Amino acid sequence: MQILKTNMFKRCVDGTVLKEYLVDTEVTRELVSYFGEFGTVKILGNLKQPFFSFSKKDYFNVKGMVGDQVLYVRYHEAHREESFELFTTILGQWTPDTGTGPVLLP
Amino acid sequence: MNRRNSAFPKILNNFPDKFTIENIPGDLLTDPCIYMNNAATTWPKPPEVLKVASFVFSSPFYEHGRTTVHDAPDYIGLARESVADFLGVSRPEHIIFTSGATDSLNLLIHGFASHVNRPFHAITTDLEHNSVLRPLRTLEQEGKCSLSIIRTSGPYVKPEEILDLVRDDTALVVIGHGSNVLGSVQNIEAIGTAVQHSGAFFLVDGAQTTGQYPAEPGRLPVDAFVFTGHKSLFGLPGTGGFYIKYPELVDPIRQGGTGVDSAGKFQPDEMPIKYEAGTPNYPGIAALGAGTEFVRRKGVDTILSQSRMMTSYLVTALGDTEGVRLYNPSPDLPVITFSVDGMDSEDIGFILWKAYRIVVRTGLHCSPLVHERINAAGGIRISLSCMNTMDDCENVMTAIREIAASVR
Repeated sequence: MQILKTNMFKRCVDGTVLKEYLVDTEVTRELVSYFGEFGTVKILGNLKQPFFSFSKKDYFNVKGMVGDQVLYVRYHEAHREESFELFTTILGQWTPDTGTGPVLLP
Repeated sequence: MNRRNSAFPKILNNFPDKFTIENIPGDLLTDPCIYMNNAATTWPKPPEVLKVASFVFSSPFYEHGRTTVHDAPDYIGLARESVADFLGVSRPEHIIFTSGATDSLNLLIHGFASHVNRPFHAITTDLEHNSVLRPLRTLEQEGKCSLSIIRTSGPYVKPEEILDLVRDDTALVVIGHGSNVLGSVQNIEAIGTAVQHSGAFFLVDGAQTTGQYPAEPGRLPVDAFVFTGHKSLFGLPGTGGFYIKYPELVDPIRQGGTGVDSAGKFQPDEMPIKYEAGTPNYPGIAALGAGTEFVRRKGVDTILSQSRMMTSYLVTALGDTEGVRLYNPSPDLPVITFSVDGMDSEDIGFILWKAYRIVVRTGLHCSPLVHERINAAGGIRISLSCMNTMDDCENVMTAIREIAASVR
């Protein structure tokens, strides 16, 4: 999955940074399951458009809607640069064919 | 779902590069929504407000005193008369226009402290907005006042709670007329009567009530009353003002051009220019006047009765929804704050927008102290205006029921 465009839309007083990513394919349930390999995933699947959140403690929280092409990410201050790299790597290694197989992270 | 509101640009999903409407594809300008964030800013605005604002924006600048155009309508004077009449104020020059309620509260609180010119004691409550708390705390930090904050146990402040805190040096009491979190309206007549006996200056923040709850501060025991333009008076953001009964008790903390008396070395004492330095927001104030007239024609009692019907429906329906916790089951204003067990309020707001195109507000609503009592993490706030309908309310409830059910 590739990031087509990034908007940084908020820098909070607690040091967290909110970014939104426009990605090249729609978020699927498979992508959300794949995220689950790297942190805690929550999905409200019964909504007319399912909501998901994905968090990796002390690094980032992600949320979005299945079927959408935008991801909203809150990066924590403690490991901000590392968190950017970690999340974009997780995202970059995903293709619809990736399934939930093992991936190499930095 | 009701799709009646049809001019909302889906900007976030569209990542526009420039501030040009041309860059936003046409279909994104016509994606409708249900707007229930009116305690922040009302939307949509009545057509007459947009018409006046558009006319003034499209016309050469002609504010009286700063142009040679003398035959144009004096919209600022007209707006001042309109707001004065609406607030029961007999002297329109005692209505001051500012950039909003925050600006007004800063001018009044700091201007009062400047006039007193010695440390004094001030009283406020934990229901207040940061636009009250922060100026007072700034004075406290500067050693200009000591501050007592009433810790409420419910949605209302009792006059005796204020009187219990009054000291010999108490000079200022600042109370919000309506809470932007709990939707409760304080009895400013009773509180004002009590404060008057103490001799303190009584400042009321009417940002949440003006235009949707009957109040004529000109006829009540208040020394100053703050209003905002962009909420229930249906004006534009960046407008508002205050009514002041005794201008001699508050120094002007801004000095500058007034369009008249330019040879004078100091800020004139005359009202309203004592407090109105600098070029006014002419289109905004014209729109505020048009919005005030809109509210007056519709009638505050009619607006209140309509909003009470919708509020009652929502409060009952939310109360009957498993997992939903209401912060005040009997709000006086159409302001309903709640949370859903097991869900982060920010996520609920996100889902309401992304999946249902419903606009609410989440978080602390700039009123942090009351959240220490009700929910430190912040709640979800639905706030209505007279432009909402029962259809909107039913659609919102359908969405909230679906979300609450999906958590279980």
